Amino acid sequence: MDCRDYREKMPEYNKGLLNPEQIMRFEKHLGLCPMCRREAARERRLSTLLEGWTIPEKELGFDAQLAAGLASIKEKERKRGDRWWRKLISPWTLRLAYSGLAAAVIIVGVILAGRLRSDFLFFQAGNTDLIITQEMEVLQEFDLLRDLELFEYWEEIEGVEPADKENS
Amino acid sequence: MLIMDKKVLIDEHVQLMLRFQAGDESAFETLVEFYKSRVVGVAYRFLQNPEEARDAAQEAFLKMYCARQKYEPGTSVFASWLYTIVNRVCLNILRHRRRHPVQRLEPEFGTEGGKSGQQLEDSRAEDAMLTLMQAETQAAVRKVVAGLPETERMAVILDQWEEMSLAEIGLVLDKSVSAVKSILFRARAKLKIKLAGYLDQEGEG
Ligand SMILES: [Zn+2]
Repeated sequence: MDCRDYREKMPEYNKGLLNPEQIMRFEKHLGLCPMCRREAARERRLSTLLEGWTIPEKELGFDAQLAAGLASIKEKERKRGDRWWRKLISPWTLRLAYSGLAAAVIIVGVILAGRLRSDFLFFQAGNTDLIITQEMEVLQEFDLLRDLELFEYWEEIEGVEPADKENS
Repeated sequence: MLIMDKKVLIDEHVQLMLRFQAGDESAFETLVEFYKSRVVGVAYRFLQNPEEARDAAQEAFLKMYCARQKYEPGTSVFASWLYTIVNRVCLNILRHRRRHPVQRLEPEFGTEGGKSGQQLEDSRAEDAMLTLMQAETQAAVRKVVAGLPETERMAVILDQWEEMSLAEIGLVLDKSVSAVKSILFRARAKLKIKLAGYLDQEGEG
């Protein structure tokens, strides 16, 4: 240990928080090192100086304001407590609600990711026409695709071969 | 608060807080009775304005009342939990003060054992000198403590006057034990520089 380590330990030494062995080592160093001895004395004097800043008793007094504040809080709490659903709110029901919400988010995420992935795999396997048929079904359901012209246009932009069309 | 009594007090206050949580209002009153002068003292030294300190203490106790269900005995000792609230309230007051600087009057500070002019004349010259010196030293201490950054100031107050452990201060300031150690080291180094005139007067102790 060098002087820096001893300086760091100084507050603990002054508060008597070191163990007997540490105290022995500390005091041995203080006996040999005038700089650390001086610093230890300054530390102690600083504490004494700070301790000297006392607060007049009258400043510590507490007025009746606290009682008034408490009364209004109690009144508010009483009104709130009258609502039936408030009684259900406790740290445990909140925790339950949060975990339920988190589970729902995860489930929806997994479902969406699964659907995207299966679509992608389906597409990769060359089933582009089937994908289009699926999309078609959706569109038909919405009643947005009634005439063939639009269908052909759709085929054109997707670049579907006429041979594939026969299968569908 | 004596260190020896601390463990007993901590257990006792945790029990009181749990009783209060369960609906026993008298437990709250007991806690307020024990901590009120301490809380005002911390706020007083931090804000250095008696009126704001009393407001801060009152607000802290009201917040403690409202937040009783959030207290968990396992995660912090009672005093750390309470002083976390006090620290936040004090910081809010400082923020408010910065936003409304003109409305604030300079605080009137009293000193323990401070005497009026007439009393000073009556007492012996030596006593008067001593009182004056004490008042001057206290004013110097107040000034340098006020000059510390907020976190360092609160750390010094909790360490010096509340005799809290590094771990307890860490809970209040949301810092690790080693972080609190270096905050205190830095703060005390600053105090020693600014108060050098008072520290080097006497011979080596
Ligand atoms: Zn040394």
